[in-house]
This record gives sequence, C-alpha cells and structure tokens, in this order.
Amino acid sequence: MKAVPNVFEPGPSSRENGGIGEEEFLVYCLRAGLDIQLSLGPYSNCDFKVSGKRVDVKTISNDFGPLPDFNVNVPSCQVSLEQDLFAFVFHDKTKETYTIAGAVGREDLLHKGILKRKGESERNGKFIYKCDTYVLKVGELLPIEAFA
Amino acid sequence: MLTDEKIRELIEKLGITDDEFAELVEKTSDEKNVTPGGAMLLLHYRVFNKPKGVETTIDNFTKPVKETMDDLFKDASEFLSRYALNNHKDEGDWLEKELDREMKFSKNYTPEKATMLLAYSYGWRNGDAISAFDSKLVQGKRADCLSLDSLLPKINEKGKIPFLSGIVNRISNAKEFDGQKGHKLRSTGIEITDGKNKIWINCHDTSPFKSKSTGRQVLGKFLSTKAQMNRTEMIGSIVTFMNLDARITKKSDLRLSTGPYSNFNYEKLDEKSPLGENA
Repeated sequence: MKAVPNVFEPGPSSRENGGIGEEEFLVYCLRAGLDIQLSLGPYSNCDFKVSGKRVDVKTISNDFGPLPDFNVNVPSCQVSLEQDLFAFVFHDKTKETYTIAGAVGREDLLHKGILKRKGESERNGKFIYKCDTYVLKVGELLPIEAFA
Repeated sequence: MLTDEKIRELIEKLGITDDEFAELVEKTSDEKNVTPGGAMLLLHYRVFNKPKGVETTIDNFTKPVKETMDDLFKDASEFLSRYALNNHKDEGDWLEKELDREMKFSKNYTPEKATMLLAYSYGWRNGDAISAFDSKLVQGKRADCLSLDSLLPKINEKGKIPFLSGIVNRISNAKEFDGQKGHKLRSTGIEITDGKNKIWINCHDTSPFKSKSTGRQVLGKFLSTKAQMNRTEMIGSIVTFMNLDARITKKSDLRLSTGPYSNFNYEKLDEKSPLGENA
C-alpha cells in the first residue's frame, strides 16, 4: 500500500518559515472573520479549512514581498484532490514581514498555471526548476475572501 | 471555534490552570487583534502544529511525540472496530485475524504501529476517511473499490491484476534509475483513490527487449513519460490500468506497478470537478 512519491523535503528553515506563514494566514483569516478550521491532523495534506474548502498554504521568501508580476509556484507532485485551494504568503526577508498574496483554486492552478518542467530555467539561467512545477503570477491570485 | 473537548485538550497539553489559560487567551487576543475564540484556535494551532508534507511511509508513524502516538493508536483502533462492524459483521474474529496477520508479517513493528498500518490499509487517515469525492459520482464512473479486501482477490495466478480503475489523486515526480533496472528506465507514481482508500501505482518506462519465451521483440512502453506528459489532465480523471504487476513485499505491503505488457487509459469526468460539495 505504500509507495513514496519523489518529493523534495523542505529544509528546516523553510519548514519554520512555512509554519510562520501558516500562522500569519490563520491570523489574517481570523481577523477577516472567515470561517476557518485547523487541518485534519498530522497526515493531512491541507493546512486549514476555510468555509469548508481545504487550503494548502505556501510561503515564499524574497526581499520585496508580493508584486503582481512575481511568480508563485507549487511543485506538481503536491497538487492533489486533497486540496481545494492554494494560498500564498510572502515572507519579506528584509523587513521580516509576512503578506498574504491571495489564493487560487486547484482547477485554476492546473489550467491557468504554466507547467514548468524540471531543468527549465529563468532569469538567464539564474533560477532552475528542481522539479515539475505549476507557476502563476501573483496578479492572477484572488483574495481568500473571494472563496469564502 | 474550538469544542470544549479541544479546549480541554489544549489546556492539558499546555499544563496550565484554567485561570492561566484564560489569561493566555486574553493576552494572545490582544497581541494578535483577534477574538478570544480566534486566540484559542491560534493557540491550538501553535501547540499541535505538526510537520507538513509527510507521506505514507511507516517511518512517518514514528514522527509524532508519544502522546500523539497514543492518540493515533486509539483513533486507528476505533476506526478498525467500526470498519469490522460495517464490513465484516458475520465474521466475529475478522479483526483479530487481520491484526495477527499484520503482526506476523511486520516483525519489527510494535503492535501500535501494526494496528495503524492495518488501519491505513483500510482507509484510515487519522480518524477520517478520505472524503475528497462524491461517492455517487465515483460509483457511476466505475471506480473499483481499492481496499485490500477488494484488491487481493483481483490478483490472478500470474501475479497480475488484469484491470483496475480509480480516480487520479496525484502524480509524483519522475524518478530516474541510476542504472537500468531490468527493462525499467524510470518511474512515476500515480496515486489513485476510490474516494475512501488510496494506493500508488508505479508506472515505468521500459526499454525494448526480446522475449525469452517467444523470441519476439517486445516494444518499449513509456507509461512514466505518459503520466508526466498528461499530468494536468489526469488529476481528477478516472484511470484504468491494464495488466498490472502485483506483489506482496517482505514487509507485507501490496505493491502495484506497470511492466512491459501494461498500459493505462484515462478519461476526464464530465463534471467540472470530481469533488462534491467542496468543489
């Protein structure tokens, strides 16, 4: 019954950032008065439920925060029927702030997102995709309230 | 937001009195500018936040702390009891026999781990069966039941499952083998589900070879590549595998994989999403 997908394990700092990003997302939803519940448990593939929709929160670190032209991405192997939405939180390393950039539904991510293949590069080869990845612009995200 | 039971659980985990907890809630509420209910949810999240992205390997059962292991074991036991009651009413000793068998084949595991593994095989996910689908929709589209009970009788005397259908839940990255593994070149896992149970199918690219028995050339099959090429369309589609290799590993897991004589087809479900009310 067990086969392990080829998933890149996040490093400890990414995991910590991800945890803070999730907490910021939770606080944001609480302040916005959204119906938010915690995930189902340690083996759950989503982080929260917002208005019954299962949300996977992705935290992205950079030096600027979110801008409409920036990319958000989800490794393709992490996209499954166990998430309804993907929400993105930007961690600005300079200011040490976390900003909720928005969210996208799974079907929209699959069909509007560009599937970048492993080995493809951007920024004149400065960035190389380590695995197949769905990529979307920040400007294409919707506020999480739109899904509530 | 949190049930009384969850609040009690949180207070016990924090090891503080009710008054201290009330103070902590007030402080968190002020700090984060959220309601007291929200503050409790936030505290619960902080205290019980677990590593994410874990996969279904036995090693992951060793990750939670002791208290959580106990909770998980209790949860898994209750799940199995309910499963036995619902599906094996007439076999009073079914659960006992299954647990015995699980223990026998998993010599290095504690009874708790063996129980959780068994429960996992029958669809347990920390107490909740996977509820990704509208089961009526899945039934209408002929997805097979993927419980161990249903899969084992499908395996023929040649160790093959002639046909198997399920809904594609996710697709792994492609894994290149360091050296050629028999005829296998690379592999991609496709996780399928019937709405309750899940199982991975390892799809391989295979190189052409000459059959020893017939002397004929057998063409290469590129099912790993096929899965990678069609990933976007496949997630949420119904997939039918033909001629799957099935084997029970030394650790008593059922492994399903494609070989040179296997294939799969998929078709999109008519509806926009296979999800029910969550879509």
